[in-house]
Amino acid sequence: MEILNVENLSFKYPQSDGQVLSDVSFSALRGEFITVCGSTGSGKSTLLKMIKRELSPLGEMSGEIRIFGAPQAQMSDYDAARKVGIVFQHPEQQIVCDKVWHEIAFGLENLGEPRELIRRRVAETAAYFGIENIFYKKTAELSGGEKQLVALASVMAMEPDIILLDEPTSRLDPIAVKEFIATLRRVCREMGTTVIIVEHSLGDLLEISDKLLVLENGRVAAFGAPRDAVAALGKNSSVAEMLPCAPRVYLGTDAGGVCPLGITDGREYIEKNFKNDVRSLERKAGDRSENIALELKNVYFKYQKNGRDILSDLSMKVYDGEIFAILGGNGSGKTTALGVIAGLLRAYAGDIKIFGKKSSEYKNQTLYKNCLSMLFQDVQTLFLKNTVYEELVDVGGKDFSLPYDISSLYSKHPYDLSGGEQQLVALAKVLLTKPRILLLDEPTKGLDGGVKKQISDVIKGLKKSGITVVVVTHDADFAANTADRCALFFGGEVISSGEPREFFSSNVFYTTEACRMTRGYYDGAVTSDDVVALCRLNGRRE
Amino acid sequence: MRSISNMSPLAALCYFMAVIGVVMFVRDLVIATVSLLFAVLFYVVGCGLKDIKSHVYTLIFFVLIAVLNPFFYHNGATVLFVLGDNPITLEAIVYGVASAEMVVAVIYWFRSFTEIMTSDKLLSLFGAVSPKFSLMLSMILRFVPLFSRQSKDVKNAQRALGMYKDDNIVDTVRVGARIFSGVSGWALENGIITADSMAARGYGAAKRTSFSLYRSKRSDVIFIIITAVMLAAVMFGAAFGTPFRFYPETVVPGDFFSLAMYATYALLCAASSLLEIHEVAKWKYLTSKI
Repeated sequence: MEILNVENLSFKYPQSDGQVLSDVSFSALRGEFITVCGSTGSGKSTLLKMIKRELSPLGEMSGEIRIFGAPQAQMSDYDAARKVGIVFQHPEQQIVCDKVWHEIAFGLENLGEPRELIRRRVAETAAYFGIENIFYKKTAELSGGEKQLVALASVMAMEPDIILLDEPTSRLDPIAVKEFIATLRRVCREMGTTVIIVEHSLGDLLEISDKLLVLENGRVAAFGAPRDAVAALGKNSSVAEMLPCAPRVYLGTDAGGVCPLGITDGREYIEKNFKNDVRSLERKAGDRSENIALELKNVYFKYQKNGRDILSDLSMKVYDGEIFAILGGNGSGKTTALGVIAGLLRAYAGDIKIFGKKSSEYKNQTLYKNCLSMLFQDVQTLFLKNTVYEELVDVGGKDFSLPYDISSLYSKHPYDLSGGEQQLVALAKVLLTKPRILLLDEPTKGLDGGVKKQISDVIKGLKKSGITVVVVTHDADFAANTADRCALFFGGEVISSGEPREFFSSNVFYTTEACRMTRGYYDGAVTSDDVVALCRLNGRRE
Repeated sequence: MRSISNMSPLAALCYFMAVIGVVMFVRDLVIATVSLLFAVLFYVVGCGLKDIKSHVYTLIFFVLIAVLNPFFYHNGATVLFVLGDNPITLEAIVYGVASAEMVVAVIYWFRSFTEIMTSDKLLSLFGAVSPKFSLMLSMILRFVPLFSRQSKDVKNAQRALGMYKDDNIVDTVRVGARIFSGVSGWALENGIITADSMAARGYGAAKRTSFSLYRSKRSDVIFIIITAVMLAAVMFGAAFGTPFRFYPETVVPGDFFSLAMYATYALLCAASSLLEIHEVAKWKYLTSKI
């Protein structure tokens, strides 16, 4: 049964020239799982908001949205609220109440349901989503993954027929992403709820989606089963950067056939189509300076006197002018390590030397003067002014200069920018303090492939101008593409480190998709570009 | 019957209002003493002796009130001694002690009250009166910790930008103002998302109900009725019995109405501790049999 029809939908914001959406048509069946993707500005978020009537933006609209066959405008407020649910990107801001149980009850309270029904539904929902253990907790104390799960549960408590999700996993760490998507899949299968999810990293979604809707500049570029939709895309599609490794290799190698989506069929595709006479690519020898920019020696740190050590016996060296990536799971002490290096947290034992001088000897904040800067994970903590230009003048003075151009954003309010733009502005602001060492905490979190590449290029550019970069990230692919050396954190110390190719190919679990896919067939292929290059080099199997 | 902390918020509220109301409005040494004894007992039984310091401070406060009265009031027939030109009387001391007992009793009842009335219970009480107000309270309770955490993050971010100097108070204040304005902006900007999230879940689509985790059980209703009856008896006694006399001579009334009032009030005050002790004892007994 068709539950949602979007027909020839076009939309234009007032006082803007471009169409955000033009002639978009698609439909969704009951219990279908549809992934919508597109680069920043492709209109995917606008499309979602238009389907949820309460959030429809103001502007010129044509075309029609029908829910259960009836035009959207004819629904009662009650039905509109109940039948279509939405989960947003920010786990923090979409939560309304102070306690988890209250948050789940919130929607039902709004609809004026009787108390007994609410009691029953809240209990059922909590049990279904397995959140009984956090049921009485304050929402502010939850982890990002738990918050997002509560947000989903609180929408599902209203028994929607369609659930819309606007980049729900972009703020979560990889493990939480997998859990969230598995829960979503379960809701879709077991409850028969139609799921429409907008996401820009398709890694975990492609294989479980029934359909993929690709938007490019407000138009439908492809719609259909994921394999067909991906195959229909060109190699230069703006979406190519968002795809997981296997389909990217498929698009990059033109061997035809059915498009692989995951690790297993990706491997099959390569083995079937390409030889492996040449097993690895030639490497350029790394030229690194022998001067040490930053050195940690047996550093210990804990938050509470009786707490466990978050950093324990941490020793590492970062050489002048290199890009050093710190990887590791949640709670491995990555971010804490940055805080300690930046002097925001104080280690209780061990030495931290910055350019050969102990960090405690940098008195009166001189550490932050033309020496070291840190960009926080939540870049909004940096924005205090009304326009981007004021933000930059605030740090750099009237005639500042930046290594990359963001002048088109100068007149905008920092909060009106997209996630990627905010990241670039925040980075620019930090760079204006003219650091020699730059610490970055998860600079690519929540960003789409294209923007990620841009950030990666910016960081490589900084290296050329002699800045040492230490970057904490969850993103193995980003690290493989960007870093000169990678280090794996566990239990507050560095477990292994090395140049990305050797680092990722000797890791088994904590490695890139490309590496997992080609293990034992090619050596040291850590990015999908590597795989494509190797496939080309070896040539087709006859 | 369960302990007060496990009763419905309404039952707990009624109980505390009755106990505190009587001691505040009936000026009586016996009532104040009884109330103080059971208030402290209940707090200790329910919460233990944590934070000894605060108890010591309350004791100092108690002594201060009790001692100050005879220095300022010199009524009363029994002069104990004369300090300078001022006679210090036994009656004034008794009155001071009664006032101190009353104030400290109220403090201890309120301490137990705040331990028992968690934010969830308060919300459920408010929700019964006004669902909108209760929601607002809930949103404020959510927002305050978020705001302070964001302030901390912004402070760190600004520090790492080199916006601070260690040794300059003017600078510290200036940066503090920047942070506050920045975080306020953040709160407003992100409030838009919260508003969307509320609208999306039908806020304003119908007349709101207020859900709470607590239901009034039969035992709660019975407890409220018993409390009300006892309160009525105490009020009856206070109205028709001989009032307690502090001046010129301390006279403890001995008539039937007054004695009945003391007994009823003592029982009412003791109820909280008795129920608590009963529950703990029952629990111990049950676990010991396993």
